[in-house]
Amino acid sequence: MADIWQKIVQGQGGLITAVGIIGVFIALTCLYLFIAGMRRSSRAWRRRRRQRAGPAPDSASPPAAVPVAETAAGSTGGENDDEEPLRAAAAAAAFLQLRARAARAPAPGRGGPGSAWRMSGRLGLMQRPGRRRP
Amino acid sequence: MDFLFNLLNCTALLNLTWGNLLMDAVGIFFIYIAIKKHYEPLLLVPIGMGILMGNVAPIVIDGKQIFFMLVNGEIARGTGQYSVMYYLYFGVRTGIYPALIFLGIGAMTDFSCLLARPKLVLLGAAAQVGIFVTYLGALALGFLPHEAGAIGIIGGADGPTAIFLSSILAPELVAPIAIAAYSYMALVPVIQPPIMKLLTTRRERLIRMSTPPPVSRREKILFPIGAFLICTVVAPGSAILTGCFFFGNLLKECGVTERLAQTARTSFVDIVTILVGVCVGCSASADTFLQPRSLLIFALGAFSFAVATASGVLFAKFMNLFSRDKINPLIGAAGVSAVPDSARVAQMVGQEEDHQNHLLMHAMGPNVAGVIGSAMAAGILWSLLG
Repeated sequence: MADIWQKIVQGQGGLITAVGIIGVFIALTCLYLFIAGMRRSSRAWRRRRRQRAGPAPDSASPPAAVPVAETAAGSTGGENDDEEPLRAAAAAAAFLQLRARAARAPAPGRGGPGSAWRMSGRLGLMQRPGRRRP
Repeated sequence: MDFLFNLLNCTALLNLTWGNLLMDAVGIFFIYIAIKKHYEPLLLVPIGMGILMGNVAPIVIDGKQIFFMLVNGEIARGTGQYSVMYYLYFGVRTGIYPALIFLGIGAMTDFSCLLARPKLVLLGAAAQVGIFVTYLGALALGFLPHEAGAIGIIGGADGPTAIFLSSILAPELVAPIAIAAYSYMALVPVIQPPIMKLLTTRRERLIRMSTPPPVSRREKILFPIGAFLICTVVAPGSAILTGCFFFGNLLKECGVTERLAQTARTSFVDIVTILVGVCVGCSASADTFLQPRSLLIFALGAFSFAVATASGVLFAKFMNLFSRDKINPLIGAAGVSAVPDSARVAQMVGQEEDHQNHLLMHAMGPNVAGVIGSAMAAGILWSLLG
């Protein structure tokens, strides 16, 4: 045991191990700080640019600015005034349902079980080199 | 009768040793597992064939031993000329091939997974602990400090880095170190899962990670430039490997050098891989490879891999203590580079518990960080021991 300890001391084992581990951690922590800083400034830059360009058109907004009840009555030309509130309610419910579904579903390339992000990984990386057959 | 004896003497038969035959068997085994089991075929076929070539016995012509395949300059010089393999081996001896392979790997690598979740870069650092722990182990077993440093790098699970560092620190050990590194890289699906399962609970393996935010093209372009500067400032010894790596990545991401990037990640890296494989195989001649030290190197390599995997997993668990956005500790094992095999292993072990849990792209973050980490570790070891 003393012999082993002697060899480690002679080879400056403790010093090199400590310097090595700390060095790698410092390097990759610097890298982490760089990436985090870059991401943050990139987000801020995007936000500023968006603000300068004005509010983006809201894709999830209702199809028309006029009240739903009026549109329903006008477009269908319904003779029965009693059906108007029902139609308006149905249109509103459909709109809300669509908006909720859009919020749940991932945007393209942003996740979800069948997203491009995951599919690219599954298709590309799960194949071992040399296993591909023509 | 004399004529027949001379004729026989001209063949390799009389000069074959048991060591040559044993190494030939090793070469054939490598080719077999590459073809039959699909274990790293792109590397093991050239290495296996190289071992066969390097163990051709000397052929005697006019009383002179002619070595066609040996890479050792001293032996070849005895015949009055160097062998072809000696010249090809120049790329290994001087660290040219590993740097060129890094360029190709850089052109293949997508850093999106790492950029989207920057904290995963620390897992790539944690897995390098195996390198330095193995350094201690090698010293304890009687290796000299520079040899111990070259052996420890096997834990980085990065073949080119292992060849690069061992060619500088311990040129006589390049063959066993490179073959151990590539063998264990091929055995990642066998070595890692038991360690990963041992160190994690079922609940931890079931952790689902949220989808990371998208990464812009600007960030992808800025990253290789900034990362190279940081790596070079902290560990100047890693400048060659990280420089080529990030240069390759810049070719890929900048969008205006698609032709160069395409060449770097296909034909270019394939050519260099063939040369590295054959040359490393050729250098594994019986007289240099069949030594007790080679067995010790293989044992230390396995230890290094195991420690690297364990430290990655344990560090991921440690990070979870302070983080609200939990990390599945299985992806910590991908911190040993072995791209993308160790990430695939994280995915497979995760799916054994939950079929809907896709960890692959999350594991690619620590995986590419591991490549950078092992290059940094090589640079530090070179600075300290070179």
